[in-house]
Amino acid sequence: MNAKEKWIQDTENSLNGLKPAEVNPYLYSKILNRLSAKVEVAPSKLVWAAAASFLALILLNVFVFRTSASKNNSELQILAQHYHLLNDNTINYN
Amino acid sequence: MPNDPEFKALYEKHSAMVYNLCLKYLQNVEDAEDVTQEVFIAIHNSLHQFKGDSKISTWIYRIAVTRSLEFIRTKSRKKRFAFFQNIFSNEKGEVKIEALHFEHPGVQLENKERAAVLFAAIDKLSENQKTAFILSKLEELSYAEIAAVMKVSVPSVESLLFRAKQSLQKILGDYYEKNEK
Repeated sequence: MNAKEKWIQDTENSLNGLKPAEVNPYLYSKILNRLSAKVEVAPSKLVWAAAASFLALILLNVFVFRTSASKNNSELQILAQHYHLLNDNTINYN
Repeated sequence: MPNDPEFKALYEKHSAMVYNLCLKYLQNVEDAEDVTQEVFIAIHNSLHQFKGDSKISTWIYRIAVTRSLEFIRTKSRKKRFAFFQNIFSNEKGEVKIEALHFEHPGVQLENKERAAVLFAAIDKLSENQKTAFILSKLEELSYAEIAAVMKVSVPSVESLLFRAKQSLQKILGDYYEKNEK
């Protein structure tokens, strides 16, 4: 065995008999602190219920908007007929 | 509940193993403490999912290995980003040069220098070779236990160990040529 091979072998064996390092005695407290500080996750049922409510609210808004839009339209037509308003936006004085 | 007796018992039984494994991967005391915390938080959050189809120590080893490798990957990404940021920046930012040689507190005094070189060489191995080598040579797990932790076959572990030893000899040989000759 030459010097290089011996050096490699000795280096490979340098971790034989490695003693375990001691754990920080405050580590457990740190873990407990992090677990306590953890953000509470809402239950999935609650998340789905909130999403469904939000969707229902949006649909209700769309429905109300469309209904009121068509109602306004018909009211305008009645008004136009009452004042004999023509299609080309001129007023018939006859 | 974080402070339940079952979790505390688990911590007392396995904390030294987890911390020492993380220390061998990360080669830095603060990083090893951080990852040990991550490991036990993961254990706490997924203890109810443990099916008992493997030993609990195998399951904990697997979490510790995965978290350590993830930490190394994240750190490498940050280093690369800092490197490029430094290249493209006109300002002379502070470049943090980390210690090349890690001194494990459990190494015998006469071996400190060579152990540091060996740790640096281990750090250069691929993830799978590193895991097989650490679990076999430093944690002294059996091939079957390593296979269970890594979720590979025993012949795969043998192959990984063979290649890890070859890679280490090459790295150490190159180091010898440059520094010791």
